[in-house]
Amino acid sequence: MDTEFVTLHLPATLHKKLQALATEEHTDLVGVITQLVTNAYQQKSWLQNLTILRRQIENKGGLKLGNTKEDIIAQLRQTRHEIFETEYAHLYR
Amino acid sequence: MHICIDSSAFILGLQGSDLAATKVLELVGSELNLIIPRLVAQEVTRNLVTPEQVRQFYRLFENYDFAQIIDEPVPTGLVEKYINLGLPAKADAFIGAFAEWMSVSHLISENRHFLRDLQTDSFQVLDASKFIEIWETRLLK
Repeated sequence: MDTEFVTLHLPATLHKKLQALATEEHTDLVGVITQLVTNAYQQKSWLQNLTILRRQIENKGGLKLGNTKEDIIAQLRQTRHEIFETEYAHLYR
Repeated sequence: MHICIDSSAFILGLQGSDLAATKVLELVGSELNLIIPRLVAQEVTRNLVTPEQVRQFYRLFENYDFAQIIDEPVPTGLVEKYINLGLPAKADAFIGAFAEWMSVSHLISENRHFLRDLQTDSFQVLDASKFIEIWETRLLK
């Protein structure tokens, strides 16, 4: 399939910065722009997935780990101890 | 930059109850890569309350080059090293050893056992708010 091209006018300073990135990454301007766009989409997707998880937690009334930061940390230390003893401790005796 | 987030900071960030921990999770991306051991993933998921939440948690690590869960066990010698560096509980030493093994620059934790007791030059141990300060300073440079 033929790729359609467009002509883009960029401010010279932006072009210079993109060129510097291209040199650093051993690619060309199209390669740099492609990477930046890919990164932006991935970042957006990560934030969307994070937001979904936060909403799921909120909709269930939060996590049942205690009321204060100290309670939460203490509960997580207990969880760590239990999982480590069950699944990892035998590797480090 | 590569970071490891301890379950204490992860959970606070997911609950949204701590602004700095919340922000750290939102910064993860191509500039800030996240690497956690399976143990941290297990600690977080053990405290989620529905299968949908657990599935969604793992979705965060499915399709991104910048977020990884490492399954391999940390080398024994490194765990011993971190016991001697101030983390007598082996499970804590395991996390410290993991951070060095993965060459992360920062271990982000709200756990005072790390923040107070761990002495190492291999990476910085910071709570989320201190890390955000450093991150923002770095952006201003």
